[in-house]
Amino acid sequence: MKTSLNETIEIENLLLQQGDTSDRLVTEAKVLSNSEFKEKVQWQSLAYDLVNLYGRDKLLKEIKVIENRLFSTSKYQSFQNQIYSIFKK
Amino acid sequence: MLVIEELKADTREAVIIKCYEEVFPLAASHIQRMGGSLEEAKEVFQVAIVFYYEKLVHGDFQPEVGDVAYLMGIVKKQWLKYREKSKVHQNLENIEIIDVSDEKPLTKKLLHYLKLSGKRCMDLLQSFYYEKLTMRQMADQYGYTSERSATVQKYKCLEKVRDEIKLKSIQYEDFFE
Repeated sequence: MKTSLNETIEIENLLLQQGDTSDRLVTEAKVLSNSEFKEKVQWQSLAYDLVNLYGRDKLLKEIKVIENRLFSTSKYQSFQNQIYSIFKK
Repeated sequence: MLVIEELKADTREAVIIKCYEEVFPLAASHIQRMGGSLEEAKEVFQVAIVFYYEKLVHGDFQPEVGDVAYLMGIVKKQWLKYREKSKVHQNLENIEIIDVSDEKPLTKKLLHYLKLSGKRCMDLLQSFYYEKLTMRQMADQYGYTSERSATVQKYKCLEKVRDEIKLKSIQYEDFFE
């Protein structure tokens, strides 16, 4: 595996608190002494946040599509009747 | 019904349908009693499922009460939050309102950019980090010959996304303000 990928894995282990503890201590020391590396850690941390937001967005869209199907196809007619009867009260 | 083992065995779609069939009638009844509409019940339930899914997948969480009761707990809490937001909105409806959603405008901008420029990588990364698929499942889903190939590709994508975020953030100068 290329060196840059090894560095990405190293950062991942630090941010996600996984892998060997002593290796993480070495990485922490590298963060303190190397500003370029520190910056990379910050960008990668932001990347995880955005990936999780992307995943959440995707799930929400998936839920809306399924919900739409539940309320529009005849297969789920009894479910629809049950729900509509609640709001007729 | 909605336990994590089932989430792993079933498709996500099957689990979502189960949530609707088994819990949505209870959620809808509660929201109707509290004066809400069907559309509001749908909106609240969508978000409740997202929270519930994240609780199940992102930890070793198992609800102490039954899982229907737990999901209903999220629905009730989410309904209160929704109502609170609506009240604020009603009180301010004649005033110009800035976007007060949870995501910062520049986060939205970056996310939008990443959706357009690197959808395949974002899909792959979210499968691992958000959906918590195993490398075997990743390899099958994205057509890699081995778990090793999927792993290498995952890190390449992570590097690509990280570098694009850096580049774009520098362009959106005020990102960290």
